Amino acid sequence: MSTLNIKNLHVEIEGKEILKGVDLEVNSQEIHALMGPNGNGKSTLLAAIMGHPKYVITQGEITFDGQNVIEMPVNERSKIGLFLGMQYPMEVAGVTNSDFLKAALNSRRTSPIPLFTFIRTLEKAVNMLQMKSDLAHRYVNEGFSGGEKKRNEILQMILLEPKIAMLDEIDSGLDVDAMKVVASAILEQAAKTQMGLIIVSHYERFYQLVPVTHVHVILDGKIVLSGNQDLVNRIDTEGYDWIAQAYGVQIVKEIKTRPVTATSLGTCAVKERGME
Amino acid sequence: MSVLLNQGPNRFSLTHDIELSTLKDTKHSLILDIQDEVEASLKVDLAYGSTLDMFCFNTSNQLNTQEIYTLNQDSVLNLSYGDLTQGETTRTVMVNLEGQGSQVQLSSATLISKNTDLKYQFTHKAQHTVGDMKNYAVMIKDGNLSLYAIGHITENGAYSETHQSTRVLNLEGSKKAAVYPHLIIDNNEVQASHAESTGQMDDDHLYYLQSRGLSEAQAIRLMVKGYLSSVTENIADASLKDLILEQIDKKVEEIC
Repeated sequence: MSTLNIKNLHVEIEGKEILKGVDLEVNSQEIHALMGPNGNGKSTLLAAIMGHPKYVITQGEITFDGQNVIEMPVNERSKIGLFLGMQYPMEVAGVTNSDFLKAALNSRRTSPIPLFTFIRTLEKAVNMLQMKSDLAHRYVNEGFSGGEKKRNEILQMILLEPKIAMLDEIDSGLDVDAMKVVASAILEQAAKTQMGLIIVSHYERFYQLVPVTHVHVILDGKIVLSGNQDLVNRIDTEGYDWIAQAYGVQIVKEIKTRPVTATSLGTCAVKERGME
Repeated sequence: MSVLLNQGPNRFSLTHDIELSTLKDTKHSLILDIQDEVEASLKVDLAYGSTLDMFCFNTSNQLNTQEIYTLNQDSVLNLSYGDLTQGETTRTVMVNLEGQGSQVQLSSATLISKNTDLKYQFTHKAQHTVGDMKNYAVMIKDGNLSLYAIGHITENGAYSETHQSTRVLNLEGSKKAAVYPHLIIDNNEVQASHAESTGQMDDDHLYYLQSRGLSEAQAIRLMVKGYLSSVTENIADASLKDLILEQIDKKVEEIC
């Protein structure tokens, strides 16, 4: 039995407070839905729990089975059993899935995983998620479709066997059939390992495929309402305005910003002699 | 010394000036080992329709080479450089695409810990020639790089293509990386492109790998290996590929 406990969590990014006092407890075998309009703190909460360096915790506690998570580096959080399936998984050119997954598995073992065991484990997960068999030799997420990237996140979750998994819009980019495959893999893994889950999704359909035990609504950086699966259904038909009105909370409107990517430097089409 | 390459695999060390050639419509592979201190010139002539897969494996303490490759009609050169040296390197490579339909693919993976001057140039002198250059460099402590990547399509090079990309990864303590990508185009009926990036380890990539349990050092090692291993993509010989990957692993463990 594992417990992730969050108390009065305040988080800033670039000086702006996003989370304004979140309390949440997640235990093994529980499945928590985290809902709310974009820009109100759902992804921030998951990233802060995982230790993303851009998110600064200014107040509050995160503990996992009594251990202070805030003081742990990111990789230690993974090794104690936390997992974040990301909304935008990174493409890591040059690093094969095989090397990456082996390194990730070996980071939590005292001796390297035997090659045969690794291949068998990977093949099983690839088949379960109906992924392409050449996955091991492809670079991490490079050239993957949106759906493939999300399946790859779930594949990593299956291999790493976390105690608490956080899935951030893992259903976006998946078509109806793929969503069923992913949902089925999540449920199978949850039944096998008793892991707890925090799932961020905007779609009632996904919560039908992965029925939840708890539902929380985040507005303006706070969990303002908690309930059960019925709350998902009501939000699906009525939206969030009624919650904002009932609890006197202002819904934060998301401001879309273009992500900053790697800088490319160089000269273009130089037309000159003398370089030969 | 002049050598007519045997068909199939060839392997020898570069210790002095050498001239290599192929016969018409033949296929060859060549591993060129470069060790200790080497100052030499290399001339390679590819006959009509011949193919050469060549890998230069540089573990020298100091290297200074001048290399000229002449590609006759319909010949194909797959040229790879694996520089795992911790010494100074100066290399000038001129690939002259003299014959119609000739092609060159050049890939280099270079670990830079000292002064390193590299110049790679394709000169397209005939129609329908193709050149593709991919350079990967990892700068480590005290590394100082100057790299010219040049694609020149002459007036006679109509319907030719020249492409190049260079990626430089700067690790802590490196001094300076200067990359000069040039496209010199003297004919309008061509395709040409270049891409260049230089920068430090991407924080988001590091975070992603760390979030799966890898320490920062393990994540950096994995990404550096990825950079350098790209040079093996064109190598068909599985045992050679394994050997190079093993050497890269060993070297990266030493330095990161």
